[in-house]
Amino acid sequence: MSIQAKSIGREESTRIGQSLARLEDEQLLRGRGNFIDDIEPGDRTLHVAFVRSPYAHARILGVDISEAQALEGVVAVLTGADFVESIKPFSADFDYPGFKVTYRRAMPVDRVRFVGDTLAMVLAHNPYVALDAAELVAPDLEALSPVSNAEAALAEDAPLVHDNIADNVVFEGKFESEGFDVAHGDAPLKLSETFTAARQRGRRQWNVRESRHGDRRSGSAKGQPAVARETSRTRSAKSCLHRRLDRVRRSRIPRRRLRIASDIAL
Amino acid sequence: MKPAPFKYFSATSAEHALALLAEQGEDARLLAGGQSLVAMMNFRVARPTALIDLARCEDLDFIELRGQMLHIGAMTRQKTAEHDPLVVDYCPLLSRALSVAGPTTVRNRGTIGGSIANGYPLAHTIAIANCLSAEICVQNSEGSTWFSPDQFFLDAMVTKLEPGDLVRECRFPVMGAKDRFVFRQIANHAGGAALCIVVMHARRYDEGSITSLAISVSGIAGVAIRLKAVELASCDMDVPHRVLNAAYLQDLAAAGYIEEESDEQAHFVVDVAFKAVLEGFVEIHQATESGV
Repeated sequence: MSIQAKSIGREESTRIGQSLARLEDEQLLRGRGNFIDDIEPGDRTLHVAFVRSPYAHARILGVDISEAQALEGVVAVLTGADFVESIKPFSADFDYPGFKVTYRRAMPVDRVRFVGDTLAMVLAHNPYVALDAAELVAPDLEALSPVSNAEAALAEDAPLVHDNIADNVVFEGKFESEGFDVAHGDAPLKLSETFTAARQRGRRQWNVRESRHGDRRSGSAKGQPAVARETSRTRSAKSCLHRRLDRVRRSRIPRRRLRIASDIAL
Repeated sequence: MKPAPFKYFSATSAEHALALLAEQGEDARLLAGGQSLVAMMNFRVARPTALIDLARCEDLDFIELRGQMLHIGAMTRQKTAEHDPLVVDYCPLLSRALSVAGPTTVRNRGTIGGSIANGYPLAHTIAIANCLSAEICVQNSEGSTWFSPDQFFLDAMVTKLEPGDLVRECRFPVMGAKDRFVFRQIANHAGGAALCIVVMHARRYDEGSITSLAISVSGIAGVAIRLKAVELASCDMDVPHRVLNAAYLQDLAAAGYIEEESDEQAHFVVDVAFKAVLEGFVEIHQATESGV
C-alpha cells in the first residue's frame, strides 16, 4: 500500500511548494516605495506610544496617568475607560451552530489577557516624549493565573479567558465523511496523527492624522483623517476601521474618505 | 523605538574620549559604530546618560603591519578591514569571517573595536581573535594594557573593560602563506544570525607539514572557546575518532558545558560544531597531503 501526497486544486496551476517571484521588489528596491516614514507628517501630527501589560493575565485595579500627563509635550494620556463610549468592542463571530461570540475592546478596561495587551496610550508632539511619558504611566495590576495554550484552557480548573464562556470553548468542530466507521474498521493499516496549525492574523497598526487643510497626497479633505497603515490588506482595514467608529464619527467621516496609504506587505 | 534622553559628545582622539569618559561618569558609553548599542538604546534596554562618539577619532582608525603582528585600530570599519590588502594578505581568516558578519550596511558602520568591546558570544571578529590568539589593547588614564582573548572575554556581553576604559586596537599574529584555515558558520537560514561559528587555523612549515592547529568554537559557552584537547590530539591525520570524541568531551567540560543541564539548541550546537571540526580536519589534511 502506498500513500501519495496529492496537491489540492488544479494540477497545472498549483503554487504549493513553489518559490514565487516577488512582484513588489522592483519598486521597493528603486526607492519608489511609499513607507510610513516617507509620508510627511505635517504640523498637526501627534505621535502615540502604548503602555503594555507585562502579565499574560491580570486584573486592572487602576492606571495612574498623572505623572505622564504632567510631562511637557504630552497632549493626552488615555486609558480603556476613555474609549468605552466611542469605540464599540470588536467581536469574534462566526456563522456556525453553537459558536459563542466573544468581544474585545480596543483597550481593555478591567482585565489584560496577554503580555503586550494595552493599558494606556500617550499622545505627544514627538515620539521621544510619547515614549518618555509612557514609562511614567503606573498601572496597578493584580496578576491572575494565565492559560497559555488551547489544551491547558480545557482543563477543569483552567482560568476563564472570557467570563461568559464557562469552559473556555468558543467553537468545536467535528467532521466525518460518510461511511467512515466501516472503512476505518476494515482498514488493514491505521494511522493517527495530531496536527496543529499556527495562528493567523493580519497586523493592525494604525497611523491616523487629521488634516486641517486637506492633504492632496492622501486625498483626505479638510478636517478628516487619513490613515497610514502598514498592510497590504487595505480594503478590509478600511471597513474594519469604519465599522468600529460610533455613529457620530461615522457620519462625519464617510468610508470613501478614509485613505490607507502604504506599501508594506505583511 | 526612540531612545531615552542622553547627552552626545563627539571625541576627536582617544585621549579626548578618555577625558570625556572621566567627566561623564560610569553611565556614559562609547559609540563605536553603534550597530548594537543604538538598537539596544532604541529598545530602551540600554540607557546610557551620555554617548561619546569615536567616529572622528582618526588615531583609532588604522591598519598596520608591525613585524609579525597586524595591528587594527578600534575604529576601523568592518567593511574596510574586510577588503584591506594587508588583512587579505596577512590575516585572510579575518577577511573571510567579516565578509559574512551581518549585512553590508551593518559592516559599513560596525567597527572591529566595537565588536570586541560588545562581547557578543557569536561575534565574527571575536571568533577569529580567539582562534588566532589575537591581543586586545585596553587604554585608560593610567596607560594601556594588552589582553589575550581568554583574559579579556569573561562571559556573554561581559568583558574586562571597566568604566573609563576604551579598546584602542587589536593585534593579530600574521598567518603564513602556506597556512590552512577553515571557517564555518551555522545558522537557521542563509543570512540568519549564526548559532555556531567554528574557526580552525593550521600553521604549516614551508614544506607543508602541520606544526600546530587552533580551533575556536562560538555558541557553546558565553564566550568563544578553544578546543585545546582536540587541538593537541589532532595534529596527526590518522587519529581515531574515539580519541577526538574523548578530547572534545574534555573541552566541553572545561568550558562548563553540562549536557543534562543544557537545552535542545545547546545539544544541537555541540553536535554540529563537532561535525564541522571533523570535516575541517579532512579539508586541512587533504590540502596538506596534496601539497596545495
